[in-house]
Amino acid sequence: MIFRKRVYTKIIFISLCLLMLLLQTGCWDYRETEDRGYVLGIAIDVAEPLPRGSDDLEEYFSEREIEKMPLQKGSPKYAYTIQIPIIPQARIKPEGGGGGAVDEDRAWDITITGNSFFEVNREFATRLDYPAFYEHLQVVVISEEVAREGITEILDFLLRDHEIRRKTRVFITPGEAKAVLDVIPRIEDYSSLYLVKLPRGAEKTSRIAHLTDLGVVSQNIHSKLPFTLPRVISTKDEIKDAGVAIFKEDEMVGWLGEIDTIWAKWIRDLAIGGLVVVDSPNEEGKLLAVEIVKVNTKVRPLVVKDKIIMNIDVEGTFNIIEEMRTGESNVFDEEYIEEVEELIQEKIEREIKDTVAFVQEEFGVDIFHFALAMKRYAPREWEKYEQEWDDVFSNLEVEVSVDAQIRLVGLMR
Amino acid sequence: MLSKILGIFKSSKKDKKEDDCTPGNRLKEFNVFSSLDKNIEFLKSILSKSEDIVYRQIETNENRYALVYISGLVDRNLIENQILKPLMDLRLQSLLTDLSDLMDNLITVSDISKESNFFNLINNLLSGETLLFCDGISDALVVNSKGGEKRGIEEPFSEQGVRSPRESFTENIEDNITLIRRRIKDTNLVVKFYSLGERTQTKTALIYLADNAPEHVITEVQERIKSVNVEGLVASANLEQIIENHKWSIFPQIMSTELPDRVVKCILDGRVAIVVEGSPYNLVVPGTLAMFFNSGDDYYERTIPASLIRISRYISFFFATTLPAIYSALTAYHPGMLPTSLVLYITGTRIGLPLPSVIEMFFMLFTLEILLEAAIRLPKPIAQTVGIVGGLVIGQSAVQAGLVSPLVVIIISFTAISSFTLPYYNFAMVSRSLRVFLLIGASLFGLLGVVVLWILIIIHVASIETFGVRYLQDFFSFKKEKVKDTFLKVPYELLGGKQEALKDEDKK
Amino acid sequence: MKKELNGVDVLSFVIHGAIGVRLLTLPRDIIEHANNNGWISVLVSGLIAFYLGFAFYWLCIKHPGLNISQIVEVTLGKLLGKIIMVGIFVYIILSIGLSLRSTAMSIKVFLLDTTPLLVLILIMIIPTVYAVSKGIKTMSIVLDILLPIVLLAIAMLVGLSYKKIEFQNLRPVFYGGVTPVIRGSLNLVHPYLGIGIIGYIFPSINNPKSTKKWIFIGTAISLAIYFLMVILTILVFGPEESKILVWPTVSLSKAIQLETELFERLESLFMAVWIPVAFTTLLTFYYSSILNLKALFNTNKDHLIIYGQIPLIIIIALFPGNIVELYKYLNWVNIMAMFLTFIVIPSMIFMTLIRKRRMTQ
Repeated sequence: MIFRKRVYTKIIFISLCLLMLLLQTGCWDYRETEDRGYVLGIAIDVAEPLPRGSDDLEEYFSEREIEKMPLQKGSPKYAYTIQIPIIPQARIKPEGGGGGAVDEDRAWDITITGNSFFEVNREFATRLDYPAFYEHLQVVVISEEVAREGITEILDFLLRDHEIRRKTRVFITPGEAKAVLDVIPRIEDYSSLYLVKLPRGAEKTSRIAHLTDLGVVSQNIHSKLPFTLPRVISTKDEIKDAGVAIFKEDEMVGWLGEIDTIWAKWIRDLAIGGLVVVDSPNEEGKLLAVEIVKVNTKVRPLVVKDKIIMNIDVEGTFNIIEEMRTGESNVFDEEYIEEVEELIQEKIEREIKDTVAFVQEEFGVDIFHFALAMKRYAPREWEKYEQEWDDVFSNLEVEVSVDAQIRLVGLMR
Repeated sequence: MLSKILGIFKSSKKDKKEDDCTPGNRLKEFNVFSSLDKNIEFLKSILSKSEDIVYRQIETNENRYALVYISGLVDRNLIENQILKPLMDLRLQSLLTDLSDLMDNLITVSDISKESNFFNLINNLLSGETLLFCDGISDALVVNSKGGEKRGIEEPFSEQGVRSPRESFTENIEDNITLIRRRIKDTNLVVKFYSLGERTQTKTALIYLADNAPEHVITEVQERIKSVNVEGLVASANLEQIIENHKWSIFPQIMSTELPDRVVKCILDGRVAIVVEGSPYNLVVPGTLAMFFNSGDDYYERTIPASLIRISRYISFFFATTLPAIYSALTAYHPGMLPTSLVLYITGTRIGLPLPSVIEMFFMLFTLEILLEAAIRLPKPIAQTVGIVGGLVIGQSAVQAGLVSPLVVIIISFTAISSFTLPYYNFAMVSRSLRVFLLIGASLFGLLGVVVLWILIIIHVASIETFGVRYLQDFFSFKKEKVKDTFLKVPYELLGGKQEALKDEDKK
Repeated sequence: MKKELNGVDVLSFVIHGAIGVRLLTLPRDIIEHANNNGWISVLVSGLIAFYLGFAFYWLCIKHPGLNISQIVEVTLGKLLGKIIMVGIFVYIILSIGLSLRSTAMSIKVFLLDTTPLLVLILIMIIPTVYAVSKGIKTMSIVLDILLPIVLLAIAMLVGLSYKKIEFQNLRPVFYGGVTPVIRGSLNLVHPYLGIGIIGYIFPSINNPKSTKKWIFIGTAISLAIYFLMVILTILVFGPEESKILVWPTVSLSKAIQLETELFERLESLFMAVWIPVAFTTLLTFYYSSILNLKALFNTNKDHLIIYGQIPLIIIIALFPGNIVELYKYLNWVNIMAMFLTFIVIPSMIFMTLIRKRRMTQ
């Protein structure tokens, strides 16, 4: 059948369109996977002295020159390190390509000093033969020195860039951040991947802060709430994540120990796992441990004349896990269970009050987000106190009431 | 210049106006002569090019007769026993005066007719019937003596089923109609014959249920068939391409099948079946998309397993077309979407490979196509080698030699397998073509290319209209009944009423 | 016009017309005004939505066989009608161009980084023009097929954000006054005016009375979708953060965490699912524009009208210099939408009532 004129014009039109598209040298975004440098982790240190990580002094000297570079504006404040996985290039492929030798370096950490992270990022192109790619960024480690001067500067790029996911975790370390990245964990190839999975342990213990990704940090900074970031300590081949660093606005003001972290998490209603240890009611000197099944905390403000009282209601369900006794005490006894529950309640009350007092005295920073409780439940009073909340916080009174329930007792009586 | 390029889109038929060269038309002017010799002479001059025509002259006391037939096309037994024998029987000779006597009393064949126009006579002769001329009478008898070797009813070649009947259509049109008639015994069954193709005069039959098929479909089909104007119609596929609505579309709009139970089900649904002489594949019109996804076997299985299998068919069609494209798009354009460990693994497999991943994918796809084509044409003993060659040699060794990455081989094999879950071979071709386009789109624009191309495909499919019925008939206008036979399959008696779907278009 | 559609087809037209590209940025616009009571804004705007749905239905029933542009001419007189039709044309063209630009920019940000804008725009235009040139029945089928995808995208977001929801973010409820809430709800007029597509397809429906139910359902579903989007944004991010995000809906998909590590950068997946949504919006608007122009110039030359608008749209799409300007223009378009909704349509209804009264006397 002969086509009508209309179909001719349609064909011409479409082919012109396609030609136009293709002639503009198509495939702009095409890049082979092996041609991208996947940045797994970023570490931020101060520029002076240069962070060494786990490098030997000898080798390190030779890198020094490379790590400094002329900037467009100002003098370098930070030293940025990125971790890139090493996937061996030059090897003859046997069936399917195996892993490298055990001692080989599996990740490469390169450092450049600078001011603006974006500039440094582009400068990495002078040392890497493929462009850095941030879509798989897992962790950001910041050293304490840097944190004490404020982290908004550093984090702005990370939040604004569309490549970086909001799930990237942020950690603070008292030593050198680069040292953390340089660790080669024994059971994982890259320390960044190891680090990002560590906070999963929050289900087991409340010493680990778990909701600390970039999204949360951004939320808190923009809502002007103080927040906490987990602390990591590293040795040559191990990383430990426990305790938190306290941030007010965007500067770090101090560390909070492991035990205090537990109770701080309780108050924030973030405890998803862990345990409570109390004295055993039967025997002197022996301990009893209960495991947390579920903990719900409600914080409600109560404004009486000019005083603010925070009511903290804790409801918890526990299982008896460990009871060190020698004799034949009977766990099934109702009275015994009630006694244990009482003990737990007392302990929690005490601990929470202590922790709040400690934070109030030591830091005066509202990491428990009482401000949010005020905003939500007593908005009028919140408006009054909004400006001087820090002072108000330090003088808050806290009323704690705990309701503990024991569910299971394990396999033995 | 442009018209030259576009000239390939024009048909290369010559004008079929009053063409005096065709002998066929001229024959219409001639009728049977009275003189036997003249008839024989005339026939011999027309058919001088065929040396396999037998002119058997008989002389009896009363008269002279001549039998004309083509030796390969007739049943010799019938001619010898039922025509020659009575004719030459001395005892009956005296009863003959007229051709009608011959017809009514003498020749013991079930199907005889009288004919006087040479055009029809020669057509009948070329179809395998025997002509009987009588000296002095200007009529001839046409005796149906069709015979000759033909294939018996065998198992289906390309459409397998577990529980479906194993009879399949053959090349003989009467056998095919018989297979259908054995299954539908209804007075409303319409069987209409046509002879298509100038030189081939292929016998074609239209079969449908008069009270079931929608009016507009029937009229449309009849018109199209009547307007077929080609020199030769060799197979049903030719007819399919002639009467289609959208000839340039990738998607088939007419279903062709070699299973009689499938055809019967479609006739019961209100569709029209077209049987063409010389091809075991019969056409069913109109063909909607859902038909291509439903295998005959579904109707013989239980509800829930059959529904699950149907759903998996749709999914595997999607995979068969899109999987290579998605892989290319994700690894080259959006590696951020894959889990980190997977990305690092893929990068590990790709280190040191010489080809860019897109070229690699195209290369493997091309290899797959070559393998598929080769597997059809290889003679039986070598066919098994193809499996070994294809699988081991090309796949495994290519990986070991460092030409392709193992993941690509897996993807291509998976794609190949999923494309054959579709019950109809001509629809599997669709997925093979779409695959290539989607891969091109993915390599140019990543995921955006894939999505936009799918939208274009959907628009195209949505616009196809065959014989007044929409291609996506069974899918749109959210009505509960539509789901009954497409994604799910409900127990048999609830399926009735399918013909209403076709009739929906009537409300205009 | 041949009556090819059924009543139920209106459903997908309504939903696709109402759910537009603005969905990506809408939560921020609303929350900027109404803070954490943004979800109430959406509910309030539901009134506008139903009003629009009913108004179009009623007008089209009273003037059978005419599409809405022709009704404008009939009710408001030739001169005023033509002026208003030109206004509608400007509104639609700006809508299409700016939506196209917005889509292309979000694709550029989240999917393909370095591809030039012109190319992205062309890619979006080609299927639109192709679909429109195939006729309304094809369009209706395509919209029907793509409808589950829209719902799937929304369901995906809702289902997966479940973990990150903090209901506390909703408090304090009703604090802050009514005015901000209403100001927030006015942002939704532009998307809801997309329901106007039914004004153009009414002549093609073969039993108009049955569409009432479907228009209602369609409007309710669109309302539910916007509601879910806004409330999810508030629940997951809290009001402060939402004001900062440029594309809150996409950031929402960024924040989702799957338990298993099947897909990491979910927002790319979301964007990929989003493209059909953007496409259908463009499609409905484009079709409206074509019918509008046909009624304006009283012609039947499809070709010129369909293909002639393409350069105009491309120019508009490339016109804003950056995203800030884009939002400025989008606000203008919203104001035009408000004008159309609150002034033009009531006057048409009013005139129709007067006419009816005159005729019955």
